[in-house]
Amino acid sequence: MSAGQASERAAGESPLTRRAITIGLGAIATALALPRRAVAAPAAGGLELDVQLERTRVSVGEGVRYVIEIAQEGRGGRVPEPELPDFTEMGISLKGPMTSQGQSTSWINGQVTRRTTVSYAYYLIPTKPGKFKLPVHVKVNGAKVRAPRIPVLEVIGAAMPEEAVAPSETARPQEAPSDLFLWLRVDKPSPYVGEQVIYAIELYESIGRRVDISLNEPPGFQDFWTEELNVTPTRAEVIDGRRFHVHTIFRRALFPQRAGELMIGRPQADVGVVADLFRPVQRLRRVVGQALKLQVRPLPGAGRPPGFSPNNVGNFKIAAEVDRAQVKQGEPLTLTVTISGTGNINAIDPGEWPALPGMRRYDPKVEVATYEGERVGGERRYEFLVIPEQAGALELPAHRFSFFDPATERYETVSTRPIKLEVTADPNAPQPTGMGDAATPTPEAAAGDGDLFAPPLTPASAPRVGASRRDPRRAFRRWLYGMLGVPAAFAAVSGGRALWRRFGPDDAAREAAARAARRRALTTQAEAAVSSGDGFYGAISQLLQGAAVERAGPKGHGLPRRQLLALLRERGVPEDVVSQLGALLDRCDAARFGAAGGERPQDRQAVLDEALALVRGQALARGRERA
Amino acid sequence: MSGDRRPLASRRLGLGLGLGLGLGLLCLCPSARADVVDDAFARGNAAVAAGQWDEAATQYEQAEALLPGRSALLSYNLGTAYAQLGDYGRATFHLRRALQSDARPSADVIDAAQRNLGIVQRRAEVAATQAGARLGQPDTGWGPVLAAARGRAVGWLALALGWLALALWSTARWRQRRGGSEPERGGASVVGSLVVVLLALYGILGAVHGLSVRAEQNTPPAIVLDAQVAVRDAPGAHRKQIFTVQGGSQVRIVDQTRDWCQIRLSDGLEGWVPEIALGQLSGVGARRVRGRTRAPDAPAS
Repeated sequence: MSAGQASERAAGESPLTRRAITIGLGAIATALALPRRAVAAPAAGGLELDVQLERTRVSVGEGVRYVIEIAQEGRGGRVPEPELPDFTEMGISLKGPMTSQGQSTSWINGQVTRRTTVSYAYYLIPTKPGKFKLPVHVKVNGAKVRAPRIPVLEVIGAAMPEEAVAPSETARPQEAPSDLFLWLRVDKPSPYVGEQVIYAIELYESIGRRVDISLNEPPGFQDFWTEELNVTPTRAEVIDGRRFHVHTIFRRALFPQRAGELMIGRPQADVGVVADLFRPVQRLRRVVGQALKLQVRPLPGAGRPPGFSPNNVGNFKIAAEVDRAQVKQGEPLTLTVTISGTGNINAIDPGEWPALPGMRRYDPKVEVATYEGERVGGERRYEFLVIPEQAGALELPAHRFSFFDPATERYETVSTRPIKLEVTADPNAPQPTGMGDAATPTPEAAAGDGDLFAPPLTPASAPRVGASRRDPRRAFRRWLYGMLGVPAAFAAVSGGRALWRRFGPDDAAREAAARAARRRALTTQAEAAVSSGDGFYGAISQLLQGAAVERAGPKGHGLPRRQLLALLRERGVPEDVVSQLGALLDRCDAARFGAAGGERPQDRQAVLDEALALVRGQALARGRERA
Repeated sequence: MSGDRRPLASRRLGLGLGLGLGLGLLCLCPSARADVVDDAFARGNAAVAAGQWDEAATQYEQAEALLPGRSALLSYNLGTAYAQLGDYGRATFHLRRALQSDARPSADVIDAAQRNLGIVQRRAEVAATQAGARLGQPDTGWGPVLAAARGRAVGWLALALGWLALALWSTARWRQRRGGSEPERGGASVVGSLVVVLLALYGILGAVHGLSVRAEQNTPPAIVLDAQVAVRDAPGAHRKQIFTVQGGSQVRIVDQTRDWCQIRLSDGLEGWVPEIALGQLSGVGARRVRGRTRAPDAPAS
């Protein structure tokens, strides 16, 4: 090879090398840019499979998001579902999927292409360490379509041991294994059979973000009677210098039902960590607690009462009462026996009820009222229907109740007080049946079996009263008006009297009214006597005299005529009026006391008209008004 | 002339015939109705004699439906028939109606009805205890006093006392105005004291009567008819049941919708029951009682 050829080759190889380097770098950059993304391979029927793993390295219990996306082109047709590996074998628990589906349509070269994409999102929660391949495929017409690349999940950390351990002696953890862990609290590691044990699951977290906790799998409580208790509020504790929030997520009262080693299963809780306040995307973490074993002691045999029930463990008291102590023979009464205290109140055995001589007792109605505070307790009430069958003084005997008190580790017995009953005789009461205790009585049997009812009365016709037509509401309204009328009338009368006193006529007015009435009477009398003349001039004289005295005022009373006329002049009455008045009075006197044979009715009418004109005239009237 | 008289006579004749027919019908109707009532009553009595209490109750129900007024005896017989059938709700209702003064019961009816009512109440109490149902008791304590105060006589007495006081006072004032003598003035002070006493009685009796009648009208008493009735927290069969009330319980109706009544028991518990399950003892709806349409031992509604 010549030097020129070598240089030509070198010149010819140089661009090729650059291209190869460029292609290689581009491939590397692409591979780096999509490290966890398996590029879907084109498959038959236009199907593409894409798998995304959120992270490839997680701790035990830390959830990782696993998304499978299947895209299919074509018109219609169902998108096949993915087939997953056996996660159980890998110790990975699966949550989900959450599915979503989208469709898009494109127009290319006059052809319509439709694309359907279905996403399946899972949470993978590993429970043991290791490296796990997560292959996925879908089947299309019997052929497997695989993802071009198989994601691998590496799990680090240690798995929670399976074997059960004894409960911790301490009330709180001495060290923190991680920023999120479960702490199981048992208040008595070796209780007696039937004794109340409080079991609580507490979640310690120092994540510093809002968490959403759910008990994924509650522990198993074989051989325990359990009662749920209220959880306590979240508190804060400092462990190893780190501040933890402690969430009590589960509390139960456990009552061991047998002696020996009893197991409490492992609890699992899922904790969703809120990633961002404004983007509430959660990261899921699962925490597992340990299984526990309790050493349950049998109840002591010494001092155990005969027929003792192992459910009667705790601290109890008993009371009895009746709704009435004085009853008639055959009349039912209610006896209530109440057992209250702390312990398995739902399962206690009250023991055998004492016999009630002279009485019949029916099966009790049982009511339980539990309270769930720190510990389980409450009241258990037995309500008996008791019917005295004998008259006289009867007694409800005391009832004894035995229980084992774990605090004192002794058997205790409490009892009710005897209750005395006074039963009065009732001739209508049924005869004693000697039944003692009865199960399900009918009301007839309970109240007396005989036919005690008075028979119907059977005359030929039923006496009746007519239908009342009165509407009670209307009748009541009328009565109400009548009642309200009394104070109204009182008020009206009193008010009327007050008004009369305030605005009614005074003495002068009454006197003036009397004078006017007298004047009207005299005028009427004179008018009536015009034709006959009987008493005519007397009436006219009185009419004129009265008008003159009234005009003259108080001084005019009792004055002779001449002085009266003089007084009228002093009062300002015109002379012609006084003269006319004097003349008329004189004429009246002459007619009354002298011979008046020549008087005609026309003359008397003229006198009457003149007198009335004088009396009603302004000169005398002004005086009357003043008077 | 005679031609004018004929139409007048025929008109009078027609008027007379019409009046006679009307009066005859008026006289005949009540007796016919009474016969129907008596017939049903007699059939009920015959059923009683034969021991057929179901038939007796049916016949007595018919008689009561036909009766325009009240019959204490009929109510007593009906209540006793229901008691014998074990239908303590309707038995209580009719026996209580038999004891109401409006029905004017005789002494025999009062004695027998009180006796049967006592037995029915005792049995209802036992049934309530067994079923865990609430039993509304009749009014106790002040109840009888208020019942007596509701009497018409008390109302009239209060009214008369008030007007009498007004009349005495007005007379005394009138005499005083006339200016009475010394003995008359002494009498006026006695009259004044009497007026005060009368007014006090008027106020007390009137207030007690008015309030008790008002309470009776606003919350009329009723009897639960069915054996056990579910009491709900609101009107509607779908609403939550809060307790059960025993048939024969006396309750008060405190509110009412179209088909439901809100009741109050003697211990203050309240709830809603169907209107059809109640028999109202007084007021406008006192006669609106559903007859027995099913066996007395039918399950609770």
